[in-house]
Amino acid sequence: MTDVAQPDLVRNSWMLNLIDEAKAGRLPTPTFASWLITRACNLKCYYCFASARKKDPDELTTGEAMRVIEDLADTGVFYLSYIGGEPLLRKDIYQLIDYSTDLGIYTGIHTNGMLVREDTVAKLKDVGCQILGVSIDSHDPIVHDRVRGVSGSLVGAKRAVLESVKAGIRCSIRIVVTEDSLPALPDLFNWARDTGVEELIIIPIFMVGRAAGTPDDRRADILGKELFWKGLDVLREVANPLGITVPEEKVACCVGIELNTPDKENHHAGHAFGFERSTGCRVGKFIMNIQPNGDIFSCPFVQHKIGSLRTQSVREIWAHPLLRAAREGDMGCHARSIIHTGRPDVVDPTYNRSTEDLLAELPAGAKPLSLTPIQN
Amino acid sequence: MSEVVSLEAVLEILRAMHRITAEDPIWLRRGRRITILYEFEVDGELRSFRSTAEGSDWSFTEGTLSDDECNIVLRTDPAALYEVLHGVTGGREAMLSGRLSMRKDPEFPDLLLMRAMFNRYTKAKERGVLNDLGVGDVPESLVLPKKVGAGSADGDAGNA
Repeated sequence: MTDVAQPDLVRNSWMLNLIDEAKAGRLPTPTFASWLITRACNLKCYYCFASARKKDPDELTTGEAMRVIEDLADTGVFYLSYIGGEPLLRKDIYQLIDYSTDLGIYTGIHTNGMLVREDTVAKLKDVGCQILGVSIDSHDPIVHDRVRGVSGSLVGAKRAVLESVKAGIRCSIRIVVTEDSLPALPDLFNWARDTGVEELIIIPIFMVGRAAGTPDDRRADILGKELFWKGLDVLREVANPLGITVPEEKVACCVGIELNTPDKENHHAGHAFGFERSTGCRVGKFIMNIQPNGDIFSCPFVQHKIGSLRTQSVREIWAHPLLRAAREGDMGCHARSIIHTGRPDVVDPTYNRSTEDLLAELPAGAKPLSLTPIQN
Repeated sequence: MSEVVSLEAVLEILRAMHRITAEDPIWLRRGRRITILYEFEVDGELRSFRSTAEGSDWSFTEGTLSDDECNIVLRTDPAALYEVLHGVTGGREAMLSGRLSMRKDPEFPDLLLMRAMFNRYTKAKERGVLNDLGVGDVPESLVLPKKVGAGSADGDAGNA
């Protein structure tokens, strides 16, 4: 593990203990909820794990959503991230963020940036939003807009980043590593640092949602994981000379990279600190994913319902056998268990195995996957 | 970055925070209770203040409590808490820098209750409604200019 402990933390050792306890699967509740607050979206990214496009007909109402927020607060879930789709398409999003922060929950929103203007950021700040995450695939508008399926989307994403930094809301950039985004990583890293972004969240492509459904999903998953590792290598080359750390382990899930160098006063002040230390599968240990209708997935990429907040509490769902199994044993990635076996309750068959071995096991004749998006 | 903030200024803010919380309809409807012990390090001395909020009732007085009697024990310096409450520094940032610490492992729902109180004050201040709420702003005279050459709270934290 990267040693990010600081001497000053001795006085707050509970923070470090908390992460260690969570990693050991000993927390009685999740610490973090990602909430796919709407599936409505104004973009059509080819890899979208949520297959976001239109609002689901059974989305939680404002009142139901507020009851969920109360349950999260009573449970002690202290970080909530509203994701989508495009969460700003939900008309009550400011009300929900306001309520989350009124109940003391550290709250962020993950947007594609298209709807973000100066006044949007001002409203987000007013309701207490503490992190604005923006997805970017490339510095090149042709590449980014092609991945996103809508021209002008890079302009919106960059505007959102700049407005967020200007307003003093912590900003993170999220990058899904694909063949399209891989070459852009160094430039995006440098641009993010120069702009005042505090962290990069690097995400592997998962063959779920819109990315799924071809006979080559398994091959694509294996290659996607390899691509993700390449992405981390690329970032390590630009980050390490600056004293910025990128996890060395061959993790296969989202990685947070803090962009504040160690000499900065606010080093480790942001979200990435916890992210860095929580590296690895967070299912059953840190995270719970809420769907637009209140259904619960164990993480955004494990598309398997384990409960519903319409009829159950967070604590009840946290005791689900699948999450207990994840706490008790190292099962690898549950999303990949589903991708490769169709079942979430078995050990990830790709876990700790080489790309070469895995590819050799695939049925002959399967064609290598191109991750290049289908042209409209 | 830090201003030198008097203890009196921060105590005034904490009382204001309690008054805002005690009138907040969401807080009242949820009917929670929390007891926090604030320990301030001022000029090498420790000054303790205990606060309790329950519904519309609250108290904030000088004095200490045992760990068992409170939900959260916060030790800090006035400037650090002032900065947290005014959005200059995040709570996490203050903790990671060593300027704010929790001696007792907090229960997460209690941590959220405390943050809820902090957030209410911060929002009221940002929205410019402190006067409307009858709590007033912190008198400028209580926030002193930074002492040139003096060991600031930042500096102290750097040596911690």
